Amino acid sequence: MKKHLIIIGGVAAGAKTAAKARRQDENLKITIYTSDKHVSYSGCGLPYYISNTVKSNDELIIRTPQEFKEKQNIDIHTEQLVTRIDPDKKEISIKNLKTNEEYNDKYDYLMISTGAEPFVPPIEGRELKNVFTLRNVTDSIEIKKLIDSGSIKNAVIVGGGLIGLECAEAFKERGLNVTVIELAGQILPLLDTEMAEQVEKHCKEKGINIITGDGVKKITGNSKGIVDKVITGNHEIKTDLVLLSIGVRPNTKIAKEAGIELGVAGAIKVNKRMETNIPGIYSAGDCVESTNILTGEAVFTPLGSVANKQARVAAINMLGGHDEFYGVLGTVIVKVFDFNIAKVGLSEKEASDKGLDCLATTIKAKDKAGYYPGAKIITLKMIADKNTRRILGCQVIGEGIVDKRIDVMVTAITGGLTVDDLEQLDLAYSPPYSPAIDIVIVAAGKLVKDLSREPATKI
Amino acid sequence: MTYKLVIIGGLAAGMKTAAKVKRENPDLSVTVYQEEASISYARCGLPFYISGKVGDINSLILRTPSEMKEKSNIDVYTRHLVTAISPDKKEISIKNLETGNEFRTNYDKLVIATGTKPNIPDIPGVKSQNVFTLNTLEDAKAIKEAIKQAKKAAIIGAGFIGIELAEALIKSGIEVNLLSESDHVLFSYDSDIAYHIENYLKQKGVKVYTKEKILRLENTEDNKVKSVITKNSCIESDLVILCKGTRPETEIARKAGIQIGSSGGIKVNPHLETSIKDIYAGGDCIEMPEIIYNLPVNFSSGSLANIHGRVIGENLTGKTTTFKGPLRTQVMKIFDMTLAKTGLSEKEACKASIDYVSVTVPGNDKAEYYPDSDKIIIKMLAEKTSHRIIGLQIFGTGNVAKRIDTGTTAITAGMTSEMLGQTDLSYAPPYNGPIDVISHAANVMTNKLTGQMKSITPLEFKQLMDDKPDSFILIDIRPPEVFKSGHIKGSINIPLTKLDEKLPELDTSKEIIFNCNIGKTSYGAYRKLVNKGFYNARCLEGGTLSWIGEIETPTV
Repeated sequence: MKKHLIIIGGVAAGAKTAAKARRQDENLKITIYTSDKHVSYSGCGLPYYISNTVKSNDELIIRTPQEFKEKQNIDIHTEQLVTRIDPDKKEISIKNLKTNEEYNDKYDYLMISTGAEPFVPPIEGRELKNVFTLRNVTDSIEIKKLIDSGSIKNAVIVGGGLIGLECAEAFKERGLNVTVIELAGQILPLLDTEMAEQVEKHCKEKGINIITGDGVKKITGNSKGIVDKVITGNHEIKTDLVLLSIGVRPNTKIAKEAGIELGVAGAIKVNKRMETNIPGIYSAGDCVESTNILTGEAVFTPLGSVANKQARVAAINMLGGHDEFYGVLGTVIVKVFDFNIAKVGLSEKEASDKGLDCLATTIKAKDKAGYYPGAKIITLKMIADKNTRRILGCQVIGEGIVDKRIDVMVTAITGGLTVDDLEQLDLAYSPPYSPAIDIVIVAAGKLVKDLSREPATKI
Repeated sequence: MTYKLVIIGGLAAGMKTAAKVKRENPDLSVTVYQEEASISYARCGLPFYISGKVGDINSLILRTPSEMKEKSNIDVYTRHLVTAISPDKKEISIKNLETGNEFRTNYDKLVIATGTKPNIPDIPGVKSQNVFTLNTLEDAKAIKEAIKQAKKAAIIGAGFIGIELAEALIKSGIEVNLLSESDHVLFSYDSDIAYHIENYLKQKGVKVYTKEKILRLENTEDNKVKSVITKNSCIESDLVILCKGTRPETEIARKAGIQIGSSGGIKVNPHLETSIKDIYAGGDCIEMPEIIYNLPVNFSSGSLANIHGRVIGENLTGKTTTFKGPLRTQVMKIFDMTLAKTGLSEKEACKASIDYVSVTVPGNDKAEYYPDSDKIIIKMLAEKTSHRIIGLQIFGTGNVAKRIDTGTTAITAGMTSEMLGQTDLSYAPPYNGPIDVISHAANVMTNKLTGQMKSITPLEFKQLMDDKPDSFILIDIRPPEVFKSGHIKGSINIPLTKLDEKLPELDTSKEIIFNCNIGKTSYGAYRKLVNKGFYNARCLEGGTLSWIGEIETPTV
């Protein structure tokens, strides 16, 4: 009798687990149940579909259920909601969302990759028409359809985080007047204030209205139940569309009910092998907690790249191999208009809040040789631990090439490099790609110098 | 404490040393002697001036001698050639190239930053008019002037500069013949990488000749070059640029009894001190152990020269700083393509008797659906037992530079393929796919190292085709319409979906080699066979895209 792997959820972690498991074991029966209409799509690509940067939502779909079946003999059941896990019987209960019919299925291995869902605070008016969240392909189709209709002019985005700003750009590209409301004192609260201010300035130059330090009190609608206003502590903003992008929460209700242990932010606790506390049940993706390799803390960092890495580890372990997931650094990158914005590790504020004895430096420099056409300014802030001289974090923003520098820093932190190692790093140099002394080297050199003047205060 | 510091050479390493020393200790007397008329210019920018990408040659000059004097009180003498060093007397001999005057001066500490000199082939005719090398600012001006008249150029030597110049000349509307005596262009790269670059250059209109023994240059009656005579042909050319690489300029150091290493560079310790007390050396003229295996190397790099300058400057002003060594990272732009390398090539790993594994992995630089997403090809080397990554060669029209710098950092940190595969690299669709292509390459390496994947590299397969053409069946598992659009010569088409059905018909006495577009689907097919208990199979790394031989496109 063939062993049966059931995967709950079919986006990044679910689809990757299925594909990897098939490569590990040709005889395994593999079934994916998902409440979604689509599987294996790029959630991170949704704003680009709305903006028309990506023309068709088909392009965001990496593989269709039919392709999974034909190429890898993987059975995918969409619009099937898993309502219950019974670990004793190794059985799950499923509800067909199209027919409401309920049924059970038995597994030998179970992967919970139920992902996360948008957090919707209990604001009055959240159920009004044209109030959206953006999580799946269906959401993006609805938002796009509304914009395509040409009947709307104004949009309000609640939440000035990564997705909020990506959507601000997308809406602006589509000709809407856009207001972003952020409860914190700055947009992109994960950045240090002076870095976030540069981004805010850029967004404003691009015509985005930004309100910080203000929260939404109420959303109101017209007689047809269509949203018409957002009311904050200090403002009343007329709008035709509201996007709530306040963050996501792990989707772990059925896991919890099955006795699976949860951790930070209600995400599923897993060990390095991606196993939950119940043998045979694995979990990966936006519904699990991870370990921050820099701080050792349990964190919730929902991200498509992390999901793929975790799924690979889970699939290997499930089928008799051994692999471990080391953890995350909370790396983020986002393009907002002409700005590239990236961060890894801790901001200066986060490092100070943790009581770490750290030193920061900020450098502004060109991304290519100064004389090379198209060279642009970027700002890089590097934070090091005074005692270990290791890098604690880095933020890079600007119109120039940012992603290269952040990935160097990600790798440097992962490899435990010190400021001294970094200042001598033999990075690739040619005028079209970097100045003779890259901004990373300049910043590390500055920290080495500053550290000699301002040595560690604690031993 | 004050003393007199003399620096020989006024480019990156020399001027950086001078500037650093003066910043740390403004009381020191610092004098720089420079053979050329200019100092402190970006030599790497010269080809871009010739191509017209950089319009004003003066934008390449960072500092002039008068600025150095005014801003930092550094005395710079240009057109002054240092002809000898007398370490016993702590004295150097100098010739003023403008006046011919010769004189001596003493030093307390000396820095040799003499850089490199171009290799001039020992053939008749190299002194003719319109025969150039590209080493100095003046050379660049002369070439730029000469291309106004030129119609057909021959570039002798197909390394970095030769190829950068080929592009510059093509863009100036000149016919370019690129001649190499080696087996392939870009000899510091492996031949499989060079194969693709060579093809690309040909597509861009460069005439590439390899294994071309160059005999002499022929002149017109008024001593202008008119052709390059090789063993096989006569290549008409009214402009010849000699790009046979460079060698460290160490003559005065050697004569002074300073130790020279096996690579030809001046031997220095990690403090960048030479074998003679109070004499330092930095920049392109030195030899140091590279950081992976401590192999002694001489490596030219404008960015490392700056780092050397800083290290020497600190050591000269009371600190103790060491230079950890080069990894030999390099990157170059070739038309719309980027080519980069760090660590060891396969050739170098073989030569150093390292037990390594190589994989070739193509992938997209951005999310596949994002506009302008483009392919790059990564060749990665790792140690067989430790899984430590030891080398990368990457090329393609996509974003290569990011991956080489990530790889450089990973190798510097001693990371294994497993670690790089899990490194939390930044991800958003405009920048990469959820599994960045460098992480993907690392995962493929792990699969190969752990035996999860049995594969054959393009180079190995080429060899197998030549040596034992009857030992394998090459199965292209792509759909028939894709197969028809171009496949490796000698392959048969069994689409993946038909594999189960056709398997029993295959001759199992032969090894099965699977191929697809980029090596991903063929890995799936390979796993399918292994899972069925069939072990005499491998997948071809990198697929049709990375293949280094004939692609057959049947005419319909």
